[in-house]
Amino acid sequence: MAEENNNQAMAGKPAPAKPKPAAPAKPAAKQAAPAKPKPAASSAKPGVYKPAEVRADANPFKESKMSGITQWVQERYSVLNPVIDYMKKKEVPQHRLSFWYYFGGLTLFFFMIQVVTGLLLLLYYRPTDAEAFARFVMIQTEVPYGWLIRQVHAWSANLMVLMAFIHMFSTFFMKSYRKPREMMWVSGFVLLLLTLGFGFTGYLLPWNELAFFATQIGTEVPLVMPGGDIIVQILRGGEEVGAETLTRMFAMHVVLLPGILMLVLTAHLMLVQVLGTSAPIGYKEAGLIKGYEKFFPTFLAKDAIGWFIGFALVIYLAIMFPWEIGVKADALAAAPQGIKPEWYFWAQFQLLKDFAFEGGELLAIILFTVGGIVWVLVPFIDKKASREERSPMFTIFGLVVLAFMLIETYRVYLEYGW
Amino acid sequence: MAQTGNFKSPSRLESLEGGAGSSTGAVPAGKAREASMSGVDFERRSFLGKVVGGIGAVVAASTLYPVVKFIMPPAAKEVAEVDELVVGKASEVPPDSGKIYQFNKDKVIIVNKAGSLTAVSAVCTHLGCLVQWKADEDLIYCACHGARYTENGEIISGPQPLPLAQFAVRVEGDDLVISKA
Repeated sequence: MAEENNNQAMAGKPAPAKPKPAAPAKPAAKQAAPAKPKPAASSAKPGVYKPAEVRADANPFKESKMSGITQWVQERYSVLNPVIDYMKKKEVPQHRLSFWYYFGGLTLFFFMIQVVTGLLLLLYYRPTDAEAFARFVMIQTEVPYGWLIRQVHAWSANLMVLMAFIHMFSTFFMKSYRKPREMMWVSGFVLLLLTLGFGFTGYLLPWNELAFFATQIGTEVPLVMPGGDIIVQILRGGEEVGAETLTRMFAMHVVLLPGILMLVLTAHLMLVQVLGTSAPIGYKEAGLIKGYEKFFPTFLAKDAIGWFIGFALVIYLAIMFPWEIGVKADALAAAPQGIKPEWYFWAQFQLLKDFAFEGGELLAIILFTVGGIVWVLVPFIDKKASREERSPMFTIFGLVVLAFMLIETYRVYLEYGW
Repeated sequence: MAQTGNFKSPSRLESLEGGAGSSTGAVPAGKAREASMSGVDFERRSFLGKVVGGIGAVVAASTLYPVVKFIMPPAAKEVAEVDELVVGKASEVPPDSGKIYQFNKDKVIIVNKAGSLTAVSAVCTHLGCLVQWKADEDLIYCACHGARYTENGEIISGPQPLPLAQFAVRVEGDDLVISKA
């Protein structure tokens, strides 16, 4: 499409561009440039003259039937048509695993819900230790539909993390990370880390007991590393979790992380547009691709159906299974029974508990760090997939990681319940 | 089947004629039917879009209601109005000075002009700034746009449309008491 459009643009030009007048030959001249673009005359007169830009027909669509607004836009911004045509080029392969293509869009959808509900909560929330909990309660008891907005924010956050995990593992097992999409994988991994960061920083903001101790435990973890006390101090804004921590977590949650996430998300989505949707290895050769459908608008419309289902789900969960309000955080109160982190940190949590021996915590942290680095470098290690050959070793590796996370998560569930 | 609009779109003409408006006369032999149809949106194609768009509009509209309700500030708690209120000590307003107090929902300035107390609304009727007692001119003055009032709130000069509302003030023992005029 883009090429066609360019050809067309070329075709619209009646002749090669007019020769530029020899104005730069007399740079010292100070006389006014001629008012009218007459190239012939300008060679005699001094002054810098820039000829009128030769463009293709301003409105190549003037023959087509369109509304007044479209006409208005086309007359002015038809230069953007190649961009739109370029977006039209993107196609999604249809095959028996196409189902998994919907989870990236769902992650994005839940993120958009987070942005909207987060902005709404910001209207009433106050990030100070004196007021945070009171305002958190006030939002849910006094502000009209405040309970709904908060519950949707909490549930949508969980669903966003879940969708991100599904999206990650499905692209992993389809080997969609292989050349040329390495950076899509890397940017996606960064997005996952940012998402977990959102979860962690946002968890403290209700300023209830659970939030307080979860943050206490979470920010304690780096202590076992050499130099970890500095990290802990930076995270907490002091020696202990307190008012300073709340302000920091709030700032990260509503300004820093959203800013970074927007940048990385833009890169991620641009890469999807540029590189298109990947098909599993060997599917093309084996004739397993049933067809291609346009991303805009066909796949997007189907995506939207998934979003409606997701929206219905998040509303259902928010109404039927509300998250608790809890008790106001008290720095001098004992930790509540059975305290545990959010489910997406359960695997790490369980491993930390398993490694109860001397230096075990440090080992667990090293394992997770190294594991994360290996995980993000998989596209560069998996040379076979990049040559469009099957790489069962990496499938097994992915299965092991997935099994480990599921088993550890399940063990936490067995011990603590939901 | 009806065609929706862009029957003459360049991309269609392109595929039909090998270039919109600049036909060289030669049609590439390989450009078969499939390519020639690509520039046409049939109504059937956009059916999905219409359904999704329709449902989306309904969902968006029904989402808008709680969102708008949420944004509207919740009604403030009604506090019973009092007829008079002890706002402070008489010593807080020495001669040739003024001090602003909250009285019910109003902000009231108590002015002590050479020993005699008056109370008027402290909210300038021009654009809502809070006024002050200007001791060197012996009048109530609004710093925002230079409105001038007497100690009883009457207009002297300036852009203000109305005088300041009056309140009553008296000293009971040591206390300053504001009451409705």
